[in-house]
Amino acid sequence: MAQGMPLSEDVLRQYIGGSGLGAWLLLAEGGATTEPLSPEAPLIFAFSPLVGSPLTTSAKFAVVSRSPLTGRFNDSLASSGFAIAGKQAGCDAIVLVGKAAKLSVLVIDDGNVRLEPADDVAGDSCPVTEEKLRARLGTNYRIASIGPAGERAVRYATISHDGRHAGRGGSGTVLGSKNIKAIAVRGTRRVEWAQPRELAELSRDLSKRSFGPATAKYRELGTAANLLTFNRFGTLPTRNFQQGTFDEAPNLSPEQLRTEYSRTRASCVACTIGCEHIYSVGGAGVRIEYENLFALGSLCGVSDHAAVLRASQRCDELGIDTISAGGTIAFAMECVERGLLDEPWLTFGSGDAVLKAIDLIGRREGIGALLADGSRRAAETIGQGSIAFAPQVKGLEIPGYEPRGLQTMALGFAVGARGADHNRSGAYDVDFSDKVDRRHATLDSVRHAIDTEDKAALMDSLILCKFLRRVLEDFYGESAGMLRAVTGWDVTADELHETAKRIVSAKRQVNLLAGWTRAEDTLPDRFFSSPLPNDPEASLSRERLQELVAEYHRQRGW
Amino acid sequence: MELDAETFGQVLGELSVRCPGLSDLITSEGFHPSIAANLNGDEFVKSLDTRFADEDRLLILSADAGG
Repeated sequence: MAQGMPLSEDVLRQYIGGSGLGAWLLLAEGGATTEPLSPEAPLIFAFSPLVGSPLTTSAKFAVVSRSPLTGRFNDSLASSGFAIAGKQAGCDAIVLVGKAAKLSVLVIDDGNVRLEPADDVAGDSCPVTEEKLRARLGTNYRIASIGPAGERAVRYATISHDGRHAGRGGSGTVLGSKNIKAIAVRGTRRVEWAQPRELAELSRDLSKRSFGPATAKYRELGTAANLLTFNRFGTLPTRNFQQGTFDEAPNLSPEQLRTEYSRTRASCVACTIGCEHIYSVGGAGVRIEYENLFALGSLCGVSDHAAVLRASQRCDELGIDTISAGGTIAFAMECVERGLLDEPWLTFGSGDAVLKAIDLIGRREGIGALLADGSRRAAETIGQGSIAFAPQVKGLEIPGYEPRGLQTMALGFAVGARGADHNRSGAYDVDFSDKVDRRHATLDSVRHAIDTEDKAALMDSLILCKFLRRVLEDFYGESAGMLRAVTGWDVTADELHETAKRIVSAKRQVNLLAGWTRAEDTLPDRFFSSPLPNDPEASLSRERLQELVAEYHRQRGW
Repeated sequence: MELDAETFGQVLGELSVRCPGLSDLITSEGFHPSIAANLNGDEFVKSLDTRFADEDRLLILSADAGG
């Protein structure tokens, strides 16, 4: 049964859209205290006031729920036409509660909602699902779907649209638990803007600046440019965070890849930056980001770039988060190395092992059934102290930033609402600057970590791509200007700063209700007990991190 | 790239000559905010008067370090 629910202007102004609105809706729907995979658990697709506007990078949506991987707040974002279709269908958000009787496609056609059978797309990859459903329904539909991993309840399954993923935390698992294979949306409504002339001028100016030096890295090599840089700093996680440098890193670098593989660039709808670098693998293209190269490459000790590209492609086909897949596989590799797991084929350095593990995870077969639940649950099952080196915070696997060498980021990982996350905390920006000593975080680091977290929360609610962050010279002032032009609200920079803090607090409120305790705001033991062999100065004590976390809570007023 | 230079300012001057393609980003007066310079993996440098020792390594990278 579908029903429309009006949202007050107060709520929209206080939480805006995207992650902020999603957090508010999750609280309002009782999602904080509902088991993530139960039929009663709400799954929210939240759009934003800027979606559909001419502002560059604004075609995004957030998927919000309680995570089946962490049990905590989860917001994952994806891009492109699905967001615009949702707005044109007249929605600020779509909230799913319940469970279909059998695997289905949820069709939203302007104001009309229906379920259709999904028999012909069951087990299909996301690209195949989108293709088939657009052939069935019409090419003006935009499709968000899960792959086979979501159908089989892999706890870090993604929701994919147009080749991009709402990747982290198991949003796809939640959708699959509702027996929904895909959501197809079509809308014909025209979205109106409060100040169209001002908006057009702001959009032109922002687009022009988005072509400048602040975004050059994304056009030239993409996020993959991080790989050799991080390796030089000794902050490239290698062999399940045993080391911070990988001797074979050049073999995985985009500088190397582009000599051997043809490559095109692409961009999301309504984006002028064009950060996507697509490499040709087996006749098909695969989008490669830094996180793929790290998680499926150096983290597993794999230098075979063909295997890493194929592994990335396979994760896309199955609909699996590459960071959690790589982290969980690397953890399992170390368990094998220590004699805790009897899977002699699953060794560091083997690209074939990574590929085999991904397939087993996607099918939940053999060791894949254990690994499909993530590294924390795997460690709890294996026992024997393995939790000490399971690379996760709150159950979410750690992205490609070595915490001992990037200690403001270490704090960001520890306190993050959804777990270890480089998108909800941009604290690495601070570590790679003259504001702090990255190897020796002080209490002064805390305010910087809070600042990046607030800004990320606002960008995820407006919604704008974080690759614009250095383009905005006056972050809160310019954001207020854009929101004013779209909505007509007399919003100011100070108000938006308060809004950002409110959104961060709402996420915390979800976690409090879901059972969060302060003990979760930490890192695995490995990061306290094992210094980096290549950088003995990069050393973080448990006590130091606890001081930083305590200061974070104090400055937040919690 | 190996350079003979005693100060950061001298390094930038040398780079602006050797790498004219970077002229939008690096001049003898300084560098664009979109890039950063790190000394030996330790500190990030901005002051043109920063002095270097033999064998020091300067890494010039995008200021947008992550993503």
